[in-house]
Amino acid sequence: MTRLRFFLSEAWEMQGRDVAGGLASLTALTAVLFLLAVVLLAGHNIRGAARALEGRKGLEVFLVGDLPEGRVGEMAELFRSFGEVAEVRFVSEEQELRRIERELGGVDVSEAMGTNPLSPVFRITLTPEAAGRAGVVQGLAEEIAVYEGVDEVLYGEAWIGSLERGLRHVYWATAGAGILASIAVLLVLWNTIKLAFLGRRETIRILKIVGATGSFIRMPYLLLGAMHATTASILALLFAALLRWVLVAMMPGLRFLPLSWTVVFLAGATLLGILSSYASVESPLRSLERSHEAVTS
Amino acid sequence: MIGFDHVHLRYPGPGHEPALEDVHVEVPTGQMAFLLGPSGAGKTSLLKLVTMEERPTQGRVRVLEFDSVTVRNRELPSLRRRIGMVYQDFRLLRDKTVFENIAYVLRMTGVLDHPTLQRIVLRLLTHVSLYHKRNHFPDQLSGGEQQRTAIARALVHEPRILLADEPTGNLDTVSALEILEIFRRVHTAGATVLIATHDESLAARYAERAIFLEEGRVVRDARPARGRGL
Ligand SMILES: Nc1ncnc2c1ncn2[C@@H]1O[C@H](COP(=O)(O)OP(=O)(O)O)[C@@H](O)[C@H]1O
Ligand SMILES: [Mg+2]
Repeated sequence: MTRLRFFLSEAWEMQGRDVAGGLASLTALTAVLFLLAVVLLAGHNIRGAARALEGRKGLEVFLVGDLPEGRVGEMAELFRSFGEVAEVRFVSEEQELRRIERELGGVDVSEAMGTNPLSPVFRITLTPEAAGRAGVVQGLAEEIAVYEGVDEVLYGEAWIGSLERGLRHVYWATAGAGILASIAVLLVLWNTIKLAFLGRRETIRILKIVGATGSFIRMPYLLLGAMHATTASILALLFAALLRWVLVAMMPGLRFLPLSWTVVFLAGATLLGILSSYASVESPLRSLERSHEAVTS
Repeated sequence: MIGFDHVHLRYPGPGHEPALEDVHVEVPTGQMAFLLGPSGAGKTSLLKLVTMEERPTQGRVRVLEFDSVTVRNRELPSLRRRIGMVYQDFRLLRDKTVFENIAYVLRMTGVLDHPTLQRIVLRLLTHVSLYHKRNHFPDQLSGGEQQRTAIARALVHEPRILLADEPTGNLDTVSALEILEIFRRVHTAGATVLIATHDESLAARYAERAIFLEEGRVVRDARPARGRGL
């Protein structure tokens, strides 16, 4: 613990030697990570919206008229026994008519048309797992269509397909943004840490000669990189939270990133900070070992 | 013990003459030896072989139980903690005080509690008569004081070998003699001391052994009686 404190104070002292450079690095990192956080925030909310739609994914099974009471009950039981099915609701032609009349604002449809033109219908909702899998709805529709008494099976194939395609795009866009942001973080920190290292080259030469190990020399730089990355990701998340707070007035229901995402975001950025610092000091450190070799910059 | 077995050293790059050629000498444990010769003779190169900053292109160098042929890079820190090294240009950390320069090397090896640090560092500073300057920065010290700080730092791990490369090169005669007196005390305490210098009059005063280098070769190896000249 005291050892960590020693290295932290070394890192902090090093930071104090180039405040402007440190701020430049921190600003760049925060900007990059903020953009990533915004993409993640958008992705998260789009996925959330899609989930809600998927929950409504289901089938409408229209039946032929005049089925005996018992047959309807049998069919409902059968459909309920399918693994993909969460709920089966029977709506008689009268109930369906009343629903439509309510939606139309109290117009008396049956009076206008003389007869009820509607068919009785089963509304089937799928379990969330089944809803998430591609092709399930279509397969189920084909299976149900062959039963006696079934007139027609309808499902929103068009919007289901495009929803799935859209979600794939969102997924790739988020992944792409993540990769680009990682590369940017890597390059910025690589440069910052290398400058900090080269600025202290003489000191490091002295440390080597008095018997400092590589890890002793490296440690403050790894901590410096971690400090930059962690601070930048905290700031980025705060700015993203602020942005959501501003936007939620216009878009109620806009959600912030779940806790698990923010933890991964912070940990990932920190790890990346350590890795890029490690990569950055490794080659100049090695070339210092042989005194006649020039330090590569 | 420091041993050179038919050592050749050639720096990489085209057109370099060998810096050392067929050097074959041994400095036994506890000896106070001088390495003499004009600038460019190869004195610094020889010391770098001892700290293993350089490895011989041919032959082998033996230092304590380390061997240049078999030593691994990760063993170098422990080798260097057992060798004290002093330079002409002192090589102090400019942004740290005298106390901190020495304490830093201790912290490096995990000595972190303040009372222990204080005890070791202040004892060393007393040893080189710098106790009163412990809170000064290197730039606030004379050359002799800076060199004494560097010696205190070199002694922090109680090394078995003390190496010095032109330690008096930047100092006036009085400071130079002070430095050499400290080296003699270290030698008396049992350490092997190897000093590279082009100043033969200093060597004449203190040397048990004088190794003369010229153009990378040992040209004379003298064991003068103390105070009788080389
Ligand atoms: N890093 C280096 N690269 C190439 N040649 C070097 C290097 N260091 C020393 N030399 C050469 O090796 C020879 C011996 O140098 P050095 O050991 O420094 O001598 P001294 O310390 O006796 O003045 C000289 O010719 C010098 O130019
Ligand atoms: Mg020299």
